Amino acid sequence: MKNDFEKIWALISVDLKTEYRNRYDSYGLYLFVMVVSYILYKGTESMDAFSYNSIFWVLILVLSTNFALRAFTKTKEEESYFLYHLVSSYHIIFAKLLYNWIVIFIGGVIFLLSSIIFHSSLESFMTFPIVLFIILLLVSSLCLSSTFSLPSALVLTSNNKGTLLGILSFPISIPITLVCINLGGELISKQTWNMSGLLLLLSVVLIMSTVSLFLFKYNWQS
Amino acid sequence: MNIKNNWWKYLGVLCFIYAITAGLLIPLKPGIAEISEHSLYSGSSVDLSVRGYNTSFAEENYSGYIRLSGSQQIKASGFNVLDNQNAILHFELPHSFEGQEKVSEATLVINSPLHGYAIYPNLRILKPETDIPNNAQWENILEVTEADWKFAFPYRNIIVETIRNTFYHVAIWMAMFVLLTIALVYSILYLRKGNPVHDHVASSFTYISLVFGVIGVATGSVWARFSWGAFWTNDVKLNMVAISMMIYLAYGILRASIDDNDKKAKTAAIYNIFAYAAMIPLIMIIPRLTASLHPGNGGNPAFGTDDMDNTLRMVFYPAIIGLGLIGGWIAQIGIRIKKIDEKLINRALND
Repeated sequence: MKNDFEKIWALISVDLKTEYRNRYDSYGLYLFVMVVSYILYKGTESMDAFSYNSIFWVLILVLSTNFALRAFTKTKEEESYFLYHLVSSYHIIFAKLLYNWIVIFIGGVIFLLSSIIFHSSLESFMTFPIVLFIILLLVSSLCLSSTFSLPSALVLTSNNKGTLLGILSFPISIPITLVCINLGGELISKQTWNMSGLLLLLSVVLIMSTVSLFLFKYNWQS
Repeated sequence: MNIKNNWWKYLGVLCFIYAITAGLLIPLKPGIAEISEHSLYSGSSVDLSVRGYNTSFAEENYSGYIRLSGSQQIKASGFNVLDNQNAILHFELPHSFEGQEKVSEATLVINSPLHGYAIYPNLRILKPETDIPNNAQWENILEVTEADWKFAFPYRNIIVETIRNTFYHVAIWMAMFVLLTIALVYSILYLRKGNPVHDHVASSFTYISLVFGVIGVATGSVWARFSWGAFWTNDVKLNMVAISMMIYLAYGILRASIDDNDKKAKTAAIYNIFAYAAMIPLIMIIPRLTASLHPGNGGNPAFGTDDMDNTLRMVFYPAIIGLGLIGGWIAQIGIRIKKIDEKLINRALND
């Protein structure tokens, strides 16, 4: 019998493998990210870093909705019966949460890299602390994945999944995105952290993931 | 109507009527609405013209003081009454005050034996370049003799009469939180026991608290118009409340979009707990981190001694109880409607 970590890891690796086999699916999203950054480069002559920062986080929000929606719809019904007997609901939601975290983070990094490449002529893009920004991206993508995972499981039973997921989780993710925009802007202008904002994100992660862990059990049973 | 079982409805209505009548009829304490000068030079003699609010200068023996932030004060040497609302106070300011600073914070105090104190903070006393010696001296503040306690609400600058909105705006938020918490408890109960009645209770309480939330936003908006100048300001608390309203509107949409009753109840219960958990950082944490126009934000706890006093509390707490009980009553009607609905559907299915 495998222990909890091995089970979770197995679930994540299954997800990542299926993701890899259906590459074109997620490539579409990643390509979308690159196209957006290219459009921003061509469409706006000289955009300042602060507006770019806001667009960046809004795009991360859009990305995370798409990824979260795919996380559960991908699993077929027979497969979920199979999983139901093998692992507990905690493992599944935890694995989905981490999997969402990984894919959202990768999307964010791709967007960041492509924008740095396209906009390297702008000075403000070269001076901001990129390591801190990536750490912020790490925390915020965890935050978004923890808020989106449970609603995306909830909407499975309804017949209009995309719209309903937006309705359920956008109000919760608005303040998260706002905090991210503020923190990113602060990184650009002052080159430093605002620790309380980061702690706020972490507390949201804690609250949301705990609630998701406990509540997913009831959704999974049906 | 059976009083034994329905006493809480009577209590709720009584509390609410009390909050409306007492909250609107009890007058404010006297206050100082305006003074002619805010910066005074020490050592000079000043004529301060004062406009009072709810004062009766002509009918009573008022005396005026200027108090330093320490424990010193000077009494007005002249108190010329124009009418009940207007008076001119004459001060001979001493030429020096304690400390090395050039500026000292001071407060204008008007005292009457019958109505008690009215204060005007934010006075500044400046040291002039050259000292003008005179005979006036700061005197120590003696033991304050409180006026007889009167049932009147405190006077606050800017908000003035709108302080009465505390009983409706703030109380309805409190009542909403209580109702939402009841809905949360019944959602948890539904997930544990699976009794459809618990789902009816949870959804009815959530809907009525959504209505309360809308009323809370509306009353707050009116209040904001008169004290901050606009119906909607870019205040954190307002925006966070708007977001949490959206979360609970989403609850309604989620319920409407699922056809199967069991699945609907289960999903709605899960989302209700999730939404409540999501609301805590929105309303409890974020506004305290950011500067806000609301009292009790940016670090301070609300309901400190500056915001509330005992006369306000005597109406405020009954208002919360009254609104909460009335909300419970409305929710009870909602639960009954749902039960009857279910019965009718079952009967139709059996026929």
